Amino acid sequence: MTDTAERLESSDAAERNPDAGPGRELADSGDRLLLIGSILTGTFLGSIIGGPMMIQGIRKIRRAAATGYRIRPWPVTIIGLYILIDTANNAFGWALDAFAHDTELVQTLFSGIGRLVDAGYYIHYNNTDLGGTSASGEKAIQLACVLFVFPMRLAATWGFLKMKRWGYHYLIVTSWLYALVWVYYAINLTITFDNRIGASQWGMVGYWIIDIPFFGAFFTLPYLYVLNSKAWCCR
Amino acid sequence: MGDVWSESWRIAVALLAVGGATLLWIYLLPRLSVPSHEEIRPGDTHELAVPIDARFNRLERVMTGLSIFCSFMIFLFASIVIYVIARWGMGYSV
Repeated sequence: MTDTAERLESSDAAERNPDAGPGRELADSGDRLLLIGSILTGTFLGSIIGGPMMIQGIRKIRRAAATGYRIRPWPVTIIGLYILIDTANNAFGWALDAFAHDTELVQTLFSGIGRLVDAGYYIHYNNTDLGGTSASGEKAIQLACVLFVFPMRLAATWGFLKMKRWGYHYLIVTSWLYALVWVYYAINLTITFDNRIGASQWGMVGYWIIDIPFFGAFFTLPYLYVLNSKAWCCR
Repeated sequence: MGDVWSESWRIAVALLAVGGATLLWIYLLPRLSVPSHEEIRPGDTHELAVPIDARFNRLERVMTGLSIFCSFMIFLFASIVIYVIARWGMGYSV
């Protein structure tokens, strides 16, 4: 009974001033958990911790909504999380190959991936001065994405989730950049097909396994264009 | 122990490269953004709570699903076209 009264009271307070009170604190705390959890989920091993953190974050946001606090629509949260995980996965994967290619952990991870789906990460691995994959075209797109495109996309997605105008705009920009990255990547991969996909264990199946995740850009672009952009009005 | 240290700092550099670049973009993007005149509304000072209704009606849901499906088909078709052209262009049999 006391709980119900307290809830009603807080709900009334939230209705009078929905931007203040426990709802906002819960939503902000939930958002922080979602951000950290989704980025951890994109770091391979970190997903063991990241998954539960994301669930806890979603619970907190649901509790914030129950207090009467106006939360952003759930589809926006889900799409934002998908983009965060997808981008973090690509960004950290390539960052590890670019900067941590001498470690046992990374060599184990990439020699496994290389043997199964992309021999560019297996044959002559760590044989150049830059280290990591020996495919020169792959190294170029890798550094461009790790230092430029993916961090920009992570920042834009965070802004998008916080309903910032710049977040929405730059998420569209980086989605087009992501599509461009895919075109470059697919051409580069197939031009040296025999040395990479052809020399791996899964062959053409491997091509589709590493190609399909790039659908992210083609999935988010139509969705972003049908949204009401004026809803992203925070500065 | 030395190996653990050697593994850790290299992985930390990789994580810091992405993290640092992301923080830089979080600083830069709001400053690089040029809002159009009609989007500026008075009183938009709060961070999260904006009264929006992003629920789609039935037609909008169908159209959104259809456009995502078409986009997927374009993606698949382009994947095959790129594969065929790249292989053919390098003189291999497709």
